[in-house]
This record gives sequence, structure tokens and C-alpha cells, in this order.
Amino acid sequence: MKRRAVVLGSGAGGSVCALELALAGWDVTVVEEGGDFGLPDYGAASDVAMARLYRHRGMTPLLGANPIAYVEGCCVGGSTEINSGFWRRTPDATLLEWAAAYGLRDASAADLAPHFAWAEAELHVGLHHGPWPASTALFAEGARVLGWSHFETPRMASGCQNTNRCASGCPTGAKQGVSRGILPKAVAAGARILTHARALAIRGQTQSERCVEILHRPPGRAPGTLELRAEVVFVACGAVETPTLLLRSGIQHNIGNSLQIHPMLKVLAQFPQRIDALHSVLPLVQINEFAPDISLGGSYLTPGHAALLLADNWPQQQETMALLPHLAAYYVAVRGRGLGRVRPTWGEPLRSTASYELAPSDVQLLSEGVARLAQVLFAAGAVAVYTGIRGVPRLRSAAEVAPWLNTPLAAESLNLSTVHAFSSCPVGDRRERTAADSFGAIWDWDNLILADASCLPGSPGVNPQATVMALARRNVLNFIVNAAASGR
Amino acid sequence: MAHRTLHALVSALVRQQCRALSAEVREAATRHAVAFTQAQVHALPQHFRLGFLAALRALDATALGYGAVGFAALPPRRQDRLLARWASSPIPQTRQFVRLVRSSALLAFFEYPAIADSFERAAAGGVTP
Repeated sequence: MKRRAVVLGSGAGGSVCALELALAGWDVTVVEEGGDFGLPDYGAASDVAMARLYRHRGMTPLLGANPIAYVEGCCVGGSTEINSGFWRRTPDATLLEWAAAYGLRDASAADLAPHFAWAEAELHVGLHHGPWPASTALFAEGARVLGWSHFETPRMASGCQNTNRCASGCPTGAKQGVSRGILPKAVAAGARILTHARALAIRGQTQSERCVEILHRPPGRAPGTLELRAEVVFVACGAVETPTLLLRSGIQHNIGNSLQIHPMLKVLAQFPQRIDALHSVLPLVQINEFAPDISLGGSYLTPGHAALLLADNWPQQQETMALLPHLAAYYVAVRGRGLGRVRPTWGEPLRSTASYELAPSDVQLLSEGVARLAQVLFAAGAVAVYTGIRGVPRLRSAAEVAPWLNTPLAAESLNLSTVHAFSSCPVGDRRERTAADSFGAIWDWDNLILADASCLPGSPGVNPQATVMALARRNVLNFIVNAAASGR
Repeated sequence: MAHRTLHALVSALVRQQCRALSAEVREAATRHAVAFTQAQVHALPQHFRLGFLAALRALDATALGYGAVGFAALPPRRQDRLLARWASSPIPQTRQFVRLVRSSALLAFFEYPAIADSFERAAAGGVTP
């Protein structure tokens, strides 16, 4: 009889655990709260995609003095289905920091290299196969003019066909969300995926089996509860949902107290020539001149997203919509130093509420970052930059932003968003600072293991998907080897 | 009343947009944006939903001060001024209410197929919407 495992969540971390466990001969059930969608469902308009693929239709803001828009996937494949597909290995310096501050052992660049390489092969990570679109070429030119370090970011979209639909699910299947390759392999190896199922709590701290209570809400049928019993449970529900599940399960040690994010501010750049961002892949070049604290890059653009970026100064900026063929979207993201919390929502305990307070250094970095972004866009030939800063509708020259390099903007004027949240249950061997040991095993629990963005000890400063997948694979392989050795 | 107020609010946001398209198309897109905004609000935790309804009522109550029975009854220029005042209000909840309506409604309006198609045609070299 096969030994049973439950994996909660089917995103970047959960999919890796499901595949490795199934390949090792375990009886695997993957529990996914969202639905299972295919290519015909992908590529819809943003509003339709939000209702279909996003948690709470995208209405999951991080609360605080300055609320920050945050979205994550809620479907088979999780956020890998709706992200841009950018791929960055964890910087070596970050791994060293985590080892020193959190006691994260056996997670050096050399330790993780085989896991990165495995994921990169599975996801066909590589550079864009065709000529750069105008939005990319101009951004690179601006960086070259200023002498700033920049590079084309690898993506898990080797056959990208420029549909400009990344955030709605790639309709051609070129982008390798984990529903494309990794999860089908796990299913072929025997794993089952239970969709529309939300984990309510985990029981059985010291018993031979853990029991996961599930609320199952299949479409068109009455909801019901069920229980799944397994020798091991991997928790990969994401940086917001994992801590609330653990809190509902009575686990509290360093859970949900240390959420971190990459706060992001987006702008629209207007160029004299046509850009046609609506018909091309998002800008592919990132500027790492100011890394690891400040990252500059490009963003997805549709008519709806353009309006979103103009919304805070809508009365002054709405005429800009007519210039859409000349616009491209870019961002500044910073390595946040603020701290957030995740708790069950008051009065609605099955729901999560996350909050994040910007640190003064976050605001300083964002101010400097948006100034740098404007500088590079004007160097690239932009004639105007429309910011997400309330009261600053339009910039006409780089000279206007010079003061922001040293004097921070008012935090409440910044229209911020993020798609990177992590560190709500940090791992490492320094128990006083962590929720689980270096391999994600929750302190004082048998076989309850973290495998998602929640377990990153801190901010990686780069897109976190590669880090999540590498740590998840390292954690699950470590478990499989130890379980086989112990013969339990 | 709340639905009527929200419809008036969304209409005020997109009044100047896509004038080359027919009034029917723009009204259909506006109704789509209203429905989407309502669905987005419904997706929020209960205390936010209640806060949103309270803000709509407060907007109507403010309109009473100008002698109109609700925000929807205000002249367009007065609606715009009131919205601008709320958007820059020192009260954070008021600013966030406007931000929520603007972001949800504008996203849905411009993603409405007939509206998005007009931008696609413009991007392909046609007439600016």
C-alpha cells in the first residue's frame, strides 16, 4: 500500500512537491481552491480573467496606512498562470544573508543550483526568440545612453507569440505555468488534483497521520466538508493563505508576523513613435544598476490597465487614453523593508486579511526609483511620463524628478501595487526567528512542511518564483530521502 | 438608489471617453463597468462592503447640500467637482472609495469588448477612439 501525502496548493511550490512525491511512489492528493482551466479559458479580457483565475476577483489588498493592491492566482497552477513568466535565480548575496540571519542551512547557491537547473529545464526558461518589441528596445537604449547595467530577463515562455495576455493566462500555451507541464506529469505519475477545495484546518500534531479538513465547493453542487488523512502534508497555499491556515490549525510560532513584499509603482511612458504595446510582449529588459534595492522593468498593458495607471489623476490624464498606440508601461519595484501581518479576517475566519506598513526606506527607495525610471525613459526618447503619483499627473523632463532622488515623496500620494508577497512563515534553524526549520518542517509538528513563498526568510529582491520552486524541491526531496531511510 | 448612484458615478468617470462610438455602445460599456464594480465590491470582506454602501449614501447626502436628490441628479460639472474633492479629501476612507470605484470601473469599461476593439483598431492604424 502506498504511503499517502497531501499537497495544499497547486502553484509553483505545490506542483513541484506533487510531482516529486508521485515520482517517488507516494499516493498524492493535491488540494486546490480554484478551478481547473485550459487554454480555451485563457487570454480573456482582464475583467473576465480576474473573475475566473484570481483570488477574490483580485480584491485582496494589503491594508495599512497606504493600502497596496495585491493579486494572486486562485486556480490550478496558482499565480504561475497569471504572471509575466520572468525568471530570476536567487542572488547569492541574498542566500548568504538568509544563512546568517535565519540560520538557513544547505541553501547556498551551489546547493540550489541543481534545483534551479531542473526547474529551468521543465519550464523551458530562455530568452525571447524574436526581435525585441519597441517597448523593450527603447528601454534598453535609455539604459545604454545613461550607462546603466541592464539585461534581458529570461522567461518561462520560450515560444511566446506576443499575444500580450500573460495576466489572463497565456492562450497559446507558450508560457509555462505549472499547469502546462509539471502538474500533468504529476498526474501521469498518479497524483490526483481536487479542485474547488479549500483547506480549513490541519489536525494531528503528534499522531501518525495528519488530517486535513476540507471545504469542497464544486460548481453546481452543494458544498460539503471532507477529511483527507496522510502521513505528510505539504503546505503551499501562498504567502497570505498559508499563515491563516496554520493559525486556524492552532499553529502560532512566528506565523503571519513577518510578511514582506516588493512594493511597486507603475508609470506610462509616451513616445513620439508608435509602440503598439497592445500587440507585443511586455518589455523584457530589466535595469539592475541599482540592485538589489531598486529594480526597473516593464509591465503588461491593455486599454484597461492603461486606464488603471491613469486612474489616480483621471480628470487631468484621461485624454491620454487617446495616445495608447504611443504608450508603454514600466515599473519600479523595491526590496521592501517594511513589515506586514496576516490574520484571519475579523468576522470571516475563513478569509485572510493581510496588512503591510511601508518603512521610511521603502518610500525613499520608491521615490528614487521612480525618478530613475523617469530618467531612463526620457533618455530613451519619451516625451512624457504619466505617474501613479497623486498630484503628479505628467512629467515632461528628467529635470522635474531630480528632487525625488534625495527627498522622498509623500507616502500617501503613491498608488502602489505588488505581485510579490513572501516571508510570512520564514524558515531556518534559528527557531526564535522562524516558523519552521531549514527544510520547511513546522516546529514541533511531525511531517507538516512548508513549500511556498511564505517560507522565504526574507525578500529575494528578484521575482520569487525560481526561489520558491528551488526551495520547494529541496524540501520535498529531503523529506523523501529521510522518509525512505526511516522506513516509516 | 445605491445602484443609480454608482451608475452616475461611473458615467461621470467615462463621460469624455470614446466619443466616436455610439451612445448605445458607451452605455453598454458603462453598465458593464457598474456590474463589474459591484461584483468587485461584493468580493471584499463584509466590513468593506458596508463601508462602500455607506460611502455611496454619503455621496448622495452631500448632493443634497447642493439641492439635488442624490449624486445622480447633480449637473455633470458639479458631479466632477464633488468627485475631485472626494479624491483629494483628507479623509483616507473617502480617497480610497474614489480609488476603488475609479480603478474597478475604468478597468472594466476599457476592457469591454467593443471599447477594447476600438483601441485595437486604433493601434492597428485606424481612427483614435
